[in-house]
Amino acid sequence: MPNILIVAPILFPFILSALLFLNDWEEKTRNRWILWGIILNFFILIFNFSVLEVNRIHILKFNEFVDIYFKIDMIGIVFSLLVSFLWILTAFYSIGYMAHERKPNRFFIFFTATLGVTIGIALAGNLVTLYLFYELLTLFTFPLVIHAGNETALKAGYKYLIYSFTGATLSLFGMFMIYSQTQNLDFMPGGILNVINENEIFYYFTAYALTFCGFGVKAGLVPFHSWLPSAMIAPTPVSALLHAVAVVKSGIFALVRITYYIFGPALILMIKGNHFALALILITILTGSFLAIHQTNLKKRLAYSTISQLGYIMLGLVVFNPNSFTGGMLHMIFHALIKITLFFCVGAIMHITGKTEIHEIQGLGKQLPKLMWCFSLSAVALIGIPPTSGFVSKWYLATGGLQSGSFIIPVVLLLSALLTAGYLLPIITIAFFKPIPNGEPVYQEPLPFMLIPIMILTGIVLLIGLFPNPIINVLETIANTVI
Amino acid sequence: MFLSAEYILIAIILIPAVSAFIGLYIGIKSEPARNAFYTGVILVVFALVCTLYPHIREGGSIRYSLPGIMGTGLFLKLDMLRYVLVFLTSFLWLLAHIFSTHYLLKYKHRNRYYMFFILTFSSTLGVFLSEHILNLFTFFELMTVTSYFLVIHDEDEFTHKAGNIYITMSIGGGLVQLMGIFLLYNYTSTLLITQLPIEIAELGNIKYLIALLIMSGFGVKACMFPLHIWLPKVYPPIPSPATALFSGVLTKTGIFGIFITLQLMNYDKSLSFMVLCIGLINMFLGGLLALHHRNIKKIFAYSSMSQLGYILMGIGLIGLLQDHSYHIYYASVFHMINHALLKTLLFFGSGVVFMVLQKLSLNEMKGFGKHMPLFRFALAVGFLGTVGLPGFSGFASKTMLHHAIYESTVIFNGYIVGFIEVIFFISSAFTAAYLLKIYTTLFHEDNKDYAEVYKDFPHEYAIIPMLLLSGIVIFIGIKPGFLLNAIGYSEAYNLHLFTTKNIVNALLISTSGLGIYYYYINKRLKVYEGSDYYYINPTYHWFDLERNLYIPVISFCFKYISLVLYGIDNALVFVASSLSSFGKYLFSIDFYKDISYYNRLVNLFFTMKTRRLHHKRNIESLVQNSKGNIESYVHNNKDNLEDMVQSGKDGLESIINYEHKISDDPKTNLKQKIGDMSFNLSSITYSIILFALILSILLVLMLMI
Repeated sequence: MPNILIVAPILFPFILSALLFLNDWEEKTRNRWILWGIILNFFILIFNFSVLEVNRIHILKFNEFVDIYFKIDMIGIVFSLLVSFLWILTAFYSIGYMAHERKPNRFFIFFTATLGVTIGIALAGNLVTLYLFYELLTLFTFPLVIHAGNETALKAGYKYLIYSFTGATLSLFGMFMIYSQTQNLDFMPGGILNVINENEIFYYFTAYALTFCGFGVKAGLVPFHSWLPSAMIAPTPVSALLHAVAVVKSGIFALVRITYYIFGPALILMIKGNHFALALILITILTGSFLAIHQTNLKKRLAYSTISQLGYIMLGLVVFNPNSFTGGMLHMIFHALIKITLFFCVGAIMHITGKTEIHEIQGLGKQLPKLMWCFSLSAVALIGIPPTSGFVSKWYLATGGLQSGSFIIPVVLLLSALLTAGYLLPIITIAFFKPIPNGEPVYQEPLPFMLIPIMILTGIVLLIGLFPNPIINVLETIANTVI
Repeated sequence: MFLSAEYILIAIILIPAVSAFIGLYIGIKSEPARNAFYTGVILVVFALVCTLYPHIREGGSIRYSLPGIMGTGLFLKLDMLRYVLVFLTSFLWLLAHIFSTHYLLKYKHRNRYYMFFILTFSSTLGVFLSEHILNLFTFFELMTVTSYFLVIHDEDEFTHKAGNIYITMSIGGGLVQLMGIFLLYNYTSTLLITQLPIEIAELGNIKYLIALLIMSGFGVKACMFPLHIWLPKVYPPIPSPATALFSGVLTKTGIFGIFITLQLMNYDKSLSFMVLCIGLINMFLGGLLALHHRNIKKIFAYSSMSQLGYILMGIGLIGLLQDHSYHIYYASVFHMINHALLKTLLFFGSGVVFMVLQKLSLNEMKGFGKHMPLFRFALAVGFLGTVGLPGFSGFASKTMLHHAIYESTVIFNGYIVGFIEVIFFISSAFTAAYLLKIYTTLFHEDNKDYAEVYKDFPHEYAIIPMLLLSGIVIFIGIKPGFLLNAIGYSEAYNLHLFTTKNIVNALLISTSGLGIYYYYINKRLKVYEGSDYYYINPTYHWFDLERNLYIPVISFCFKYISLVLYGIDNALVFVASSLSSFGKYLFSIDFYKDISYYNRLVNLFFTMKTRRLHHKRNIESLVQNSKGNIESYVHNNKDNLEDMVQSGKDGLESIINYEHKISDDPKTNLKQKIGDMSFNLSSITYSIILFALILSILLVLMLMI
């Protein structure tokens, strides 16, 4: 039964996690298992995508509603490849980072399991499966958020739980509303809902608003975003991977699914759901960028920056224009790569020097030139100064916005880009051009385990900005199937 | 030829870009080797540029395109105007590099400086070669970023201030420009510069918006009023060779952009008129401010602003006089070349002064150059060229621009032409006056401190580029036809520039400048202290665009928008905490605690109901009674009430910072902790749901209206 292989990349991380739990390995052995396991999983995924002919598998089917099944489609491939590739680099980084932290075993158990959950989200074939893994994601990442074990971490963890479950509740409610009308929650490009009556508009609008807000909680939608800055208390690899990539991007991915595969652009345009979403998203972008400037903690600043950048991605999803969709998805990929690099750099700074505030990193660029160069290049890419990758996605987003006749979208994008420059460039100038304070110890560049992933990522960020065309082609194909 | 012309186009961008990094590597090993390497690189680029001349000599152009990179592809083009700029760029870069090798000896971070110096070179060439607007924008932004490192080279307070204003204005301008490009692409769906004019011709009024947005990006670099404020702040603290290039070449990217934009807009009349007006303001304001300042680099900065005004005026006139613009076009290009050469020369001069004295104020460099004949000669040529005396390059281009004003009688009535001429005349006189101010201060005072001491200065690496430039200035001044012919002006040798009328005019301008110098600068701006004197600068009290307008407006907006968004940021948590404390307050009211009061309340209710049946005195006693009731209740329950208030407060606090409630001993307080958590969980959960619902309803209402 070859199609059981579809679930292999989802199950394998869980098996790995169980092995880690059961065996009390030496540090070296453990690291080897983790690294090879995660790399193997990446290749299983690629093997699946290239070899398998059957692209769906039903695991469990109680009734039409509770029907767990997985399906491979283009957007799922893109998301799962992105996630598992970044997981490999994060694994390397975490091994370097967690070497001196408490309870690394516990960390890695949940870390590997979360990979399975995220791939489950990527490959979910219907909304129920997606919802299931979405809830699992909250549960598996909760221990990672409270890893530090102190009161602030606990508090942040509670906040994260509360927000996530509330969001899930809202979206569950929305799911019921959809299911009661369609008796079907499978993902179909272009949506499963047919044309509706005039008097049903309000019903569907409520359903869309609820699901959007519900999944928007994980995607950092203002005003449901405040868990995100709080959750930055987690160890940096967690912040980097989970709160800049996996968790928030799962929220985004869920939004893509409900918008394009359940409701469908035509219906949402009819019920004017995109106006509602657009209002919130524009507020999200501005709130994130404006408040990022006021943060003095490096990680917090990046967290608010994440909120605003996630706004860009969501913006691409609700304009319903092939260009915007491509732009949004491009930004999903680029932001993942860039933000994870920025977080890795900040984490490395914390790891080496113990510094967390912006004013403390004076002159660090002279002490840790490689690290800070990587940070600077990624920051420039995030601002979107051409020819970096951030510019390409912004270009698509803005032209898509204009094509749909909205002036406000490019204006907000550019304002936010200016603010992005406003909160990232000072970090660079302080690090490079402020003198080193007296009495500073001499710091060494981070270990290769940490530095090499950062450098690889920076290289990719730069290369992908110069040669984005292959990715653009793939995403445009997806855009044409869903719109 | 081992390279065909198209590949040379991409090669002259790529060679410096790649070798910048190689040079960094070499520089770590050996500094002279790095200098030689970079000189070689620039020489190679310069030679390559020279080999391209035959291809575009007869009005031809070279194109190169490489689709499939950077999302849009790379499109390059070279025609005569671009060639002139590219040639100037590579030539001046070579000179500035040679000058730098000496100038930077005492500086730190030389490797970094040279790397970004060469990277800026590459991106500047890219700007001039781009045929696609997006490529142009890309190189423009790259140039901003790479030149930023030249601005902040000294890494002190001033350079950081300069760097901040530079990067803020450039990136801000760049983003405004990007908005224009978005709109342009949306309406025309092409961004190739040669195709755009045809598409834009069919657009309506939106093209004005597009043009303004795109121009404001270029206007920052071209130092157009009111975007000029960065110029006098940025020029003084940066290394002089870099300043020379900022003023000589980087401003030309802005001018080039403005020219291209006007071209795209098919030389629209209103836009051209706007450029003309801005040019006039620039001319006058730059001259006026240069007159008052006493920092030598600031004077040159404002002088740049004024000279760029001449070029902008020329460009504006090209647009206005479309059919008659042939001469004006070459006059503007000619002035552009002259300004690039002269300003580079002048900034090299200021560099020599700074290199020796480490000072920039005129008050502190009196008589500095009296005993440096070569330096004095080179700078004097620069001054005379800028003023435009016959025999120096400025004369030819200024005279041609002056003729251009006469030609505008075709479209303007006599008053406007007269007005433009007066501005032109006054600004030129200002030029003469402020340069005379510098000249007399530098070379005519006797100063014991400097006599004989600095005879060996400046070093040949510094003076040779200056002498070379002054030689060119004189050569062009004597034979303007040669240069004009080389850039394709068909009537180059039929010009009669050295007529009595023109020469008298130039002398008249210089005489007025002399007058301004004697009657204004000497009388008003000099303060004598015994035999000594110093210059004062009254402009510090004038209205400052940046200080009095931009910063207050921007900080006001920023502050209040942040405040509102901060409210949104905390809205949910606030709603949650107030909801939960309200709930706690409601639950903490114990209605049955005081039975007697409850009974009394019931009694009161019934008596109130039946009060109509009673007499008035009964009512009075009733009132008394109830009053007493309430008072006694308040009295009895004072503690109770306070408790209630307190518990409400506690609830609020426990939500806001309930980590305080978690006691040190986890075992005893575990129960309480779990209780708190479940309470918070439920209250926050419900309030989030409530909030979402209210929000949805509000948004629905908003949409329905």
